[in-house]
Amino acid sequence: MDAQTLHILQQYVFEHAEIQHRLQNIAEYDEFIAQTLQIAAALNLNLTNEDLRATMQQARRTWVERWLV
Amino acid sequence: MTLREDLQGWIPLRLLGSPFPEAVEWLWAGAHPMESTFYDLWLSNLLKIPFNALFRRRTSLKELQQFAEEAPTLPLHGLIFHTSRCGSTLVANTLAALPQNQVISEPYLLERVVLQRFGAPNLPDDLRLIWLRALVNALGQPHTPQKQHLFIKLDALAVLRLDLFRQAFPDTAWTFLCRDPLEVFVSQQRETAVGFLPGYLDPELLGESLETLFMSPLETYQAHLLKSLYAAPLNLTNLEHGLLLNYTQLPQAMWGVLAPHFGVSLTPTEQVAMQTAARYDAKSAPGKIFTSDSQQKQAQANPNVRDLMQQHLLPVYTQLEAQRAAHYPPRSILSLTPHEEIV
Repeated sequence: MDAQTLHILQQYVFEHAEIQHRLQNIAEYDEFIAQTLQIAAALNLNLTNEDLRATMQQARRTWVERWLV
Repeated sequence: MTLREDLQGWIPLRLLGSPFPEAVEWLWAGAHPMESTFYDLWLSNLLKIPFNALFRRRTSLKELQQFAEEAPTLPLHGLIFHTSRCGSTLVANTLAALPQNQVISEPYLLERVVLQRFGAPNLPDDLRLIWLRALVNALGQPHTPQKQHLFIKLDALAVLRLDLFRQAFPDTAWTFLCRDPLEVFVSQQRETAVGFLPGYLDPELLGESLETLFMSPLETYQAHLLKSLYAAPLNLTNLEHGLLLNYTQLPQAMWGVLAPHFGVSLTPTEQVAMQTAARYDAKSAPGKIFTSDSQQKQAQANPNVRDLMQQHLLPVYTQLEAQRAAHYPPRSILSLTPHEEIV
């Protein structure tokens, strides 16, 4: 997923409190991804399951690698 | 919505930008409280929430400063520096036993702006100061409405830049907790922290050359590092607002001296709460009663460690202990506590 697409998705969620709240309270990854994909589709963002998983994995990886210079 | 409203329930995760930090990334904490005082452990747990793997907020330094101006966060009541493996977690946990205290231990993002890592771009001190103040303010967002005071226990290495913290927070009380360096040394040998390995810190922080330190045996490197940690308070021009403590004074010194030094007056109930918290081993499974392992560690030191102790650590430790004796009890509590109550 490119940075601009991620930004659009993030901003939409941040601007809609009820959507943000709903996503924050999902504990299961599969359900979270399914709901996020629905939101992305409504925004005409062409995202797949693999796109979201890869982005989320990369975000987790950057945290693990935080000590690397 | 204001920035403060946007960031309600969010906490700072990490710094972004290279070569110098440019922004802070925030994580949603919501209704997931800290379960220990270790900040990065809280972050690791929060990162398990799917939302936090995809939706993170960002603020620039300017926005962070705007955030500080919009409404003050918790006042910084105390900074805890230490040599590692000396009871600092016990101190943090004991302070955190009082619900009005927000205690944050070893947040890596502070270490990131304060310490010069080996191979990293050298951030100018004026920029370090700006970031340090802004991040401490961000960490001071109260986690619950009960919180009134912020305490930060730094990673052991942070004391190498004690001067920077004194500049950033000149009126904030601080303490430096140490222990017989032989016991710290043995503990680090048993379980070495990543910061105690060559290649983590810039050798200039230790006043040594790359060749001297990185080509030395590991024990020699660690002896030089420990020497620098113990010397840090001695390198200040004065110990204003400081309290030097030794592991041997724990736990009584926490409520007898440290709490008043940090401007916290305790009710009898609060003192009991601290005493109860101090009974437990801070690093083991919940419920395990603390017992000192000093004798065990003294016995485990190998001949090389003992030689390094004599050569590099004993002189600075002796000097530090002399300073501790000369400045104890600290002026901060002399007007508050009768001498006969001081432990």
